[in-house]
Amino acid sequence: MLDFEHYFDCFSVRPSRQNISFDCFTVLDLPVRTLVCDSVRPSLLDLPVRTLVCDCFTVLDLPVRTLVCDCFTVLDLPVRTLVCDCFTVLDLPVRTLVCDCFTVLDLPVLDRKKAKELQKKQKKLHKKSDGRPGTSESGCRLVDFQMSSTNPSLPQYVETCVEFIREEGINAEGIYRIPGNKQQVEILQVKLQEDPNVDIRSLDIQVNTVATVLKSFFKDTEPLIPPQLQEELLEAAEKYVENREAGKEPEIPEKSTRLLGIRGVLRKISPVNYEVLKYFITHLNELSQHKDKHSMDSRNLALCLWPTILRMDFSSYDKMAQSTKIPGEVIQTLIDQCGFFFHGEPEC
Amino acid sequence: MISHKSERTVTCTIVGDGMVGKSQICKTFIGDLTIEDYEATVTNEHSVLTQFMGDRYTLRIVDSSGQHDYKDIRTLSYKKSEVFILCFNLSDRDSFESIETFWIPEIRKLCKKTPVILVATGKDIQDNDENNNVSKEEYLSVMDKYGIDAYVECSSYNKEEVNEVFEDVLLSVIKSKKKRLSNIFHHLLAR
Repeated sequence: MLDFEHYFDCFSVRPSRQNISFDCFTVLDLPVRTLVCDSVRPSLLDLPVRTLVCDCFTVLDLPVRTLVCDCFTVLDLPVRTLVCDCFTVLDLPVRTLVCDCFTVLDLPVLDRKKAKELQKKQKKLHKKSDGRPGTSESGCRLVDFQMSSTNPSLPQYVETCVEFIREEGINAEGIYRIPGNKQQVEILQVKLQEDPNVDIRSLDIQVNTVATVLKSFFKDTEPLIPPQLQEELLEAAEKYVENREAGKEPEIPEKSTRLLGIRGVLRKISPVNYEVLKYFITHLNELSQHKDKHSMDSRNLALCLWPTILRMDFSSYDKMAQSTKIPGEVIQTLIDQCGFFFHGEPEC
Repeated sequence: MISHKSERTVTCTIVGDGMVGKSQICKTFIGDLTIEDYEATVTNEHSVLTQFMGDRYTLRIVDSSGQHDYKDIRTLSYKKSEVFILCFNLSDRDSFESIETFWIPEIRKLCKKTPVILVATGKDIQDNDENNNVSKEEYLSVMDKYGIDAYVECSSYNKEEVNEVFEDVLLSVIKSKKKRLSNIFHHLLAR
């Protein structure tokens, strides 16, 4: 059973939808992927999400909006009881419902104009990506974030962090490896949620803190590479790695085929996620060029970042110990062959 | 002649922020003298035969990742750990602060009673910025606050100092076993 105290806490946080779902993931302490899968998998929800949520509230015989407002803003109410009732009546996994609540219900968003713009953008993107695999419906999708003014497919949050690291991280030993100070991390997260354009320089925050914030951003949002494509990617890469392991430099046509295989999988990723992945990997590739200054070559960066980019579920320690190699190699390959995968350059 | 009736296996997990020298401690202990590499650890395991107070032990050392967000991977080995080696670097204040803000909570969430040993690495290094160095009083107060069983100051490259860490590991396992036994004993007597 989930701890309802936590749950309660998560409602009392800032009233923007983005923040709530963000907090929901961190507070409930469940792997994001589980949450996302539960809400997306149709087998769990025979009904359209919207109907289901409505049902949940009509059972309690209260107007949806009142109830939602009560739950989220009026803290004197016995929210816990209400929520409990909801769940017992519908007899559904708590996780599913919580997630749905956040994605479907219109919670008060601070800036309505911006929210409308976002919705329009979302609709466009959905039309484009219809029928393509890799579009996930999490409560914390990348498209829900405010996009950069220079790149409409890149969340400003990510751009602000990467730009700062690009400028300041070259001389920072162990960048992406040494975690930042927790207090500073929390300050920066709040600042970035309030204004993703914030000037990090004015906050007197160390560069490894920014790297930590960026890592937890990726960890808390939907996976950059959706689960089904991740499997394909690992399969494609496994063959590539096996060959490299065998000590023989793979014959040139064979190596190319594998790389093409990996690239093929990458191209199936939904546009925004692809753009973010491309941007991030390109940044890592540039960063790894300066390995003499910060000791982080592409292998080391990959080791410190693959679980952030790929979401693996390990059932046991032994299983994990056996299967950590390939994902690390995949990310290293992405960084090394960044030009080939993302920029149409020949392989190196 | 001492007879070795049973050979016990003791599992410990070594944790702490990235780059404080966790892997180097393991390397020094197992006598791996290869030149220092700079590769981050995801997970690694060493098995070492060792002798302590006349008994033979197999020490299984799980070297974990210092990346805070690798929790899912790291905590898989927590349950079977009989003791934790919690490291920070004496000349890196952030790594010391993480002890309280991150590592103790993560460990105690899953293992309420497992003994923890605090290891201060980088005994031989001082940061130029005085504020970055951690003083003895500071970490002794952390020890008291969280009931940490032992602490060792070492340089990750010093074989003797590192050996001391693992002696403390075995000692605390033996102690906690005894404590548990005597608790049961007292419980029975009280009835």
